[in-house]
Amino acid sequence: MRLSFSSDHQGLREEFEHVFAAEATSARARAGASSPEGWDRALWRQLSELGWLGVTASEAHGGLGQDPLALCLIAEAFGQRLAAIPFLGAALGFADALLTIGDRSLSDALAPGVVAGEVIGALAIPEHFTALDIDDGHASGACPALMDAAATTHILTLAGAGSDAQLILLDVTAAHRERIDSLDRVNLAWAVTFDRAPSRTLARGETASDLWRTLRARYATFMSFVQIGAASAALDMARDHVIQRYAFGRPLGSFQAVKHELADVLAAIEIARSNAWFAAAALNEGGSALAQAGAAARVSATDAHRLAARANVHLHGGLGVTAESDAHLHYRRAQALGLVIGPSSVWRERLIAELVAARAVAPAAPQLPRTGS
Amino acid sequence: MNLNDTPEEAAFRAEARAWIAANRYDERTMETLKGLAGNGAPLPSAELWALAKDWNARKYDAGYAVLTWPKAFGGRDAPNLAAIFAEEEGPLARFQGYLVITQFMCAATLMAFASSEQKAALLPRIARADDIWCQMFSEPAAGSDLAAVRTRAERVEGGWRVNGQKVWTSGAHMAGWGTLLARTDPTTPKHKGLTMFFLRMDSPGVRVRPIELMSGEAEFNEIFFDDVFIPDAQRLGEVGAGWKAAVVTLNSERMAIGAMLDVDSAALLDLACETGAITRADVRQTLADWIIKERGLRACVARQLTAISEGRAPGPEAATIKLVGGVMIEDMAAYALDLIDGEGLALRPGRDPRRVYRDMFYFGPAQRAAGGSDEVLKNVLAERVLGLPMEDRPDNRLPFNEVPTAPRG
Repeated sequence: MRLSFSSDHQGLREEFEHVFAAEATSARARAGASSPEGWDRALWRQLSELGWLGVTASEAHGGLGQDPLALCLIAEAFGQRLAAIPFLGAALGFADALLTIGDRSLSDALAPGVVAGEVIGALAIPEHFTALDIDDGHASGACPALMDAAATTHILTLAGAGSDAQLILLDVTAAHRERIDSLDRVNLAWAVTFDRAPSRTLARGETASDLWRTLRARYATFMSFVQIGAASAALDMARDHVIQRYAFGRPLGSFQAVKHELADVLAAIEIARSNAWFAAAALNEGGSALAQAGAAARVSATDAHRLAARANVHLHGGLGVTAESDAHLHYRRAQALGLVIGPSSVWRERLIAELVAARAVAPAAPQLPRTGS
Repeated sequence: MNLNDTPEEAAFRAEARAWIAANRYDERTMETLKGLAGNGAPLPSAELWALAKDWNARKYDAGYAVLTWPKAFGGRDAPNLAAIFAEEEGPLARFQGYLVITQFMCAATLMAFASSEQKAALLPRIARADDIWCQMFSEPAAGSDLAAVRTRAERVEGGWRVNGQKVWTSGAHMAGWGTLLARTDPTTPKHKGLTMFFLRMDSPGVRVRPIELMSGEAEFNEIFFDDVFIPDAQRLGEVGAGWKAAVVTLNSERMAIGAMLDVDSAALLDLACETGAITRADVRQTLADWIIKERGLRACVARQLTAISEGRAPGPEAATIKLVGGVMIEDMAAYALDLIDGEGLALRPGRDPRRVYRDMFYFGPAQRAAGGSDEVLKNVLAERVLGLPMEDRPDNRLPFNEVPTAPRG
């Protein structure tokens, strides 16, 4: 097993960061989120012009034609900044799903729009719908809280279960959307309701469920890179603060109580990073290892991000709980990202269910000898 | 980035698998080894040491020992092959834990500082584990604060005379040789007055006394030096450069870290399935967390091995693995004993396989203290990786013999 990113991948990431770091400031993120539109359309356009909305899309579709490993590192770099753009759902989840589904006519129809920033997709888990009725090429329903949905044009989701399962693509361009009191103050959640929105069934039954599981695990993997980037940003912010802040005649960061809190954060990030790298390798190889690897990456990235964001708020003292400090933006984002594709408890249960099921089929060797019999 | 073997690795794996299958021990021994966690000993210590040496000798004779060593000293400079071999060894890989100090820490120090004659004489015997070495570092007043060692080496004709005491020395009761960190100048600041030596453990004036631990085993020792003579030719590095040599020793530990990852959440899952506890939602959530953490630790080892094999300096991986893994041993052991329920209080006498969790329970606290305590590792991560400032410490600037110590009662 080899876990490392090539210098080409890292170079691409640096190229992205060069643009993104200069543009994606927290002041701009705050302004974008509180604008009438509720997001930063100009930044979105800028990224699209440079090709960053189509990292893995083919060159024929206007993309950069890179592999998913490159997208993982771009995801991490995206996570390091605050930006009021729907990158997560559109450029990671939806863009990757289009490629993974492997339907040529579908990607020919939508991928160029994704790269151009005009098709803004989202992956919504079934639990996010309070209603979803599909009827003859149309769907009506509601998502009471969908992140980044200000300009969402398409939603991909799984409807129904078992033999009734359908992987569906909704065109929600005309949906009604309402700004709600969002936990995340940069990547806002919106209530989306749609009545007879055009709906297309991409797969049915077991095929649909299997495909959805794969899409979900891939999205979880990309998202874990976003979370790790975001966790590092919170850790860096905390570190910078405790180095420059003095108390009791010395830098705050020279006290072991403070050092140890940040060391625990760093260790959690390194465990999360390791799980994410493993999941990236599994994703890139396309085998069955991704199901467990994606769940592990997701849970440990959520843990690390939340730990980092909490430590950052705490170590900023009173400042950390003010609206002025960016600390709360990280704190809110950590909680929100942990919910976007279902909370950790669900991913843990998925992992253990799979392991127990695998064990029932073929007892794991070496098995612990039994006592008493 | 790949989860699978390269063609070269796959060929090595097949070769290793065949060789291990042909050379492994009988079923009874293998079963016993499966339950062997950390230093936990379902077999008498002497028997395990003998097996560890025997297994290593078989590997050495077939060319599979010390795969991580530089080629110049008979290794293959291949941490990836060592990792593959360990995966194929299964429970036999546990034996590496007995030889880490000999083959990694002491060997690395000799490779860096011994004369070519000494290396030629000593390293092949280390590679075959014909000789066991110990590393005499910690003292009653120098644990985490390792540079505070007081064992005194004074110049005499042709060499050095050593007096003092070492403690927590793993494997000293089995060792024929050892490396020794001693103070040669107490009038300079602590890190500057140290020198590294090596000596035979049967040198006159050396007395080794095993220390019984809470588990009942006695793999740690205290060592007393009473006018022990060490020839100057057995000095490793310059006089006063002992700290630098100690850092070489301690850094070499990272090469072996994968072999020392004593967490096994799969066995805990088996236990939960057997006891029926797996139907409980809280048990499923907790086990999932450990499985995820263990996966993270193993991937962290892989990241580190990849970095080393690509000639890059690893980052914070080693400290992370030790820090997270150590606490996990304690947590998992306590949790497993709870799952066993009544039997956790009193296991059956003899070879109860569930004894492994008892051993983990006893071994966890030692793991969290040895080779860099949790607190030291957190300082390392905070200072060297995050760049947080050191604490103001008087001991770094004062001559060693003026550093405040606890009042003598």
